[in-house]
Amino acid sequence: MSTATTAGWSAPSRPRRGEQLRWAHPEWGVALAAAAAWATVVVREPLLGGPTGAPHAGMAAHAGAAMPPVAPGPAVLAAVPMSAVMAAAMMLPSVLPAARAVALTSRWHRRQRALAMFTGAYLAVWTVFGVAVTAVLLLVGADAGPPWVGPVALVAAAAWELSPGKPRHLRACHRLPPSGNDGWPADLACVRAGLRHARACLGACWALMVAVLLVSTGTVLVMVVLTAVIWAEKVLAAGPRLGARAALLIVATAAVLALA
Amino acid sequence: MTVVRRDAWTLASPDVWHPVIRAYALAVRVMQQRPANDPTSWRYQAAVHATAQAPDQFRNQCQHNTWFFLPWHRTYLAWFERIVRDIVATLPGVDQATKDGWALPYWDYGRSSATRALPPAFRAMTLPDGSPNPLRVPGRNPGLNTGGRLPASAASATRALRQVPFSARPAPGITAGFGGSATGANHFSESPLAAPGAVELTPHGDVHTQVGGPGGLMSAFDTAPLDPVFWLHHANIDRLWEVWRTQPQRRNPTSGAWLTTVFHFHDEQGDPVKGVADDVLNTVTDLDYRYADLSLPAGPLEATAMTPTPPDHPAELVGATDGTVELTGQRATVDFPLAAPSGPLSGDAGGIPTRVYVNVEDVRAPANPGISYAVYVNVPDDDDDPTNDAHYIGNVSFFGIELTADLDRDHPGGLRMAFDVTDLYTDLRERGLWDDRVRVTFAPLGLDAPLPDDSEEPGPDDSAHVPAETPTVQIGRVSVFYQ
Repeated sequence: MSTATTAGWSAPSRPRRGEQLRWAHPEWGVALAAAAAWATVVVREPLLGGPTGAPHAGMAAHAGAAMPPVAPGPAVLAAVPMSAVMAAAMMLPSVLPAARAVALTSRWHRRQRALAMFTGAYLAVWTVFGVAVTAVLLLVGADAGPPWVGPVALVAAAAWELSPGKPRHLRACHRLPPSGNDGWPADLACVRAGLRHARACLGACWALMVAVLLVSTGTVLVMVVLTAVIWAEKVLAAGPRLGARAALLIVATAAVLALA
Repeated sequence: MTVVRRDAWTLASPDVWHPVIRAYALAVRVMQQRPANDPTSWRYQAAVHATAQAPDQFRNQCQHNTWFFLPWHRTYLAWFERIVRDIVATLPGVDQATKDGWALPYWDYGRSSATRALPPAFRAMTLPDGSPNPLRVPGRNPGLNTGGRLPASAASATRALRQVPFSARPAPGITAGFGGSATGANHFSESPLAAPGAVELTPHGDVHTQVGGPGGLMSAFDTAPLDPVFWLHHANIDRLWEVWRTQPQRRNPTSGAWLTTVFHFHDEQGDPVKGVADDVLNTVTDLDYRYADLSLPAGPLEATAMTPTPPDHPAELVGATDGTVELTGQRATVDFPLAAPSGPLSGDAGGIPTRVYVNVEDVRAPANPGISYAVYVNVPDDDDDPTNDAHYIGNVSFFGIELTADLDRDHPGGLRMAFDVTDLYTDLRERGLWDDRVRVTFAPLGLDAPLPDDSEEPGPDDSAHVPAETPTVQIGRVSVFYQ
C-alpha cells in the first residue's frame, strides 16, 4: 500500500524494524562470518591453554590442535584454513564499516555480491600472508622455539605500534575507492578495493599477526587483545593516535604470558 | 558588554580605514611579530587550524566534513577575537570607543554584486600612515587584489540556507544538512560516508578556493588563517549559522555527542582553555557578541519541497560513472545510464523516489587547483549562468584537498560532495525530460571582473605564488542515488 506524501510522490508503507536494520546493515553476513571464525578459534584453543600438541609458533599449531607432529609441507597446507579463520576472526570486525560502505554504495541488487568480492579479496591477502609466515617459521624451525618467543614477538609488535609507519598505514586503511556501478567493472572495482584495503591493513597490522603466530600459549587471549587493538585503531576516529596505549596493552599481555 | 560584529563593506563606507578595520590591521601586525610558539601569535593561531609541525591538542585541530565544523570555528574565532581585542586595547592612536567596542568584522560577500570584491582595506598597499598594509597579502587569486569579484554562485548562501536539518548520520548518497555529517571529532579516519554540510561547501569552500586561487594561502588548510581575510570570511560563515538558526523549523542538534565534545584553545593571555559546542550556542549570552545584520540574502529560500521526515530506507544507487573523471580547468561532462531501483523503492513506491541526490565521490588532488565548478544536471546548453539556470545544482570546491593523499596527516581519503536535486528531478519528470540517462556537467568558475569604480593596481608579487601547472582533480565516481 502506498502512502501519498507530496504531489506526484509516493512512499512505501513503513517497513518493519528488522527490515530497516537489514537494509541499513547489509554487512550482517560479514559480522556472522567473524563470529563463526571466533567460535572456531575458541573451540580449538582453550583460553590460556598449554601446549596443544601440534607444532607451535606456527599456523599449523592453530590448524591442528590435536594432530600429531606433521611434516612442513602438510603443515603449511593445514595452515590454509586456519589462517583464513584467524584472519576472519581478527580482521573482519574492523572491516565492518568499510564493508558496509562498499555494500551501501553499490547497486541494491548486488550489495551482497559486492560484499563477497570485497571481503573475499581482503581475506585472501591475509590468508596468503598467514600461510607464508607459517612456511617461513617452519623452514627456520621457529615453530618449535622456546616459550619466550611469543612474548618477545609481542614486544616487537608493540614497538611497531610506536613507529611512524603504523599511523601512515592506518590512515591508508580509510581510503575506500568507489565500488563501481554494475556488471564486471563493478566486480573488479570491489575486488580492487578489497585488495587495496588489505594491503593497507597488512602494512598496519602485520606485526600483530606475526606475534599471534609465534605465541605458543594463551593464543586466544592474545587474539582477543590484538583484535581489540586492531578494531580500536582502525574504527575509532582517534585510531591513528592510539599507538602508545596500544603498545602498553600489548606489552602488558606479553608480561602476562611470560609469567603464566 | 555585548559587542557588535559588522560588515566590513558597511564599515568601509565612506571611510575605507574605519577605526575598527584600522585597529584590526595594527593588531595583525603585532601578532605577526610575536614568536611562532606564542599561542597569541599570528603563526600559532594559523597552526591551531592546521599544521604538520608539532600537532597537539591545540594545533592541527580544524574540524571539516563534520557537524563540529560550525561550533569549532565559532569557538576558534571567539578566542581569536579576544586576542585581537586585547591587543587593540594597548594600541596608541586607537580611540577609546573603538577599544571598548572592537569586534571582528565579517565579509558579507553575498550581499550585493559590489561586495563580492575584497573589502578595500584588504587590497590597499599601505595603511593611512604610509606603512605596509598587513591586511594585503600576495598569496591570493591573481585579480582579487585588484578588485576582481567572487563568482556570484560561490558567494551565495541561498542554497545552504534552504537546508532544514542541521546534520545527518553518515550514509550513502544523502546530503549532510546545513552543518555536516554527525561524526566524531577529528573524524577523518571514521567514515567514508561523511560529507560536508551545505554551508561548508558553499559559500565556505568556494570562497576559500576562489580567494586563494591556485597555490594561494586561503586554498589550503595549513595556510588559510595566514590571510587576514580568513577571519572575516569565517565570521560571515558564523553569521550565516545565526541566520539559518533564526529561520522556521531550524534547530541545532541536541545530542550530547555534539554538545559536549571538548576542544582546546588558548585565551588572550596564552593560557589553555577548553570549550564545547554547548558553551557557544548563544552568541550574546555565551560569547558577548551579536551580528549587526541577520537578514536573509536575496533569492529563493523556501525549504526544499520534500517529505517532512527522512524516508525509512537508505538511499539507493541507480547510476554512476564506471571510471574516474578528471577536472582540468575546462568544462567537463559525464553521461551515464540510470536503472530502475531494485530495493525498497521497487515495491510499494513503484520506483518513484521522494528524494534524489547527485554525488561527486572520492575527489582527490595533490593541491587545490584554485578553481571551483558549477555543477549542472541535464543542462540543455552551454550558456552557463548558475544564478539563472534551473539545471544548476550547486558548486564543487576543493578546500583541504591537498591532504587527501597525505598519509602523514589526519585527512586522508577522497572528499564526497552530495547535492539534493529532488526539485529538479520532479520538474524534469513532470515534463517528461527525466529518462534512463543523466548528464552531469562541471563548468569552471573564475573571478568576475572588477566593477569600473572599484579596481586597484596590481602588486609586484600578486602572481608569484601561482604554480606553473594547475593540478588535475580526480573524481572517483559521479553517481545518482534515489531514496
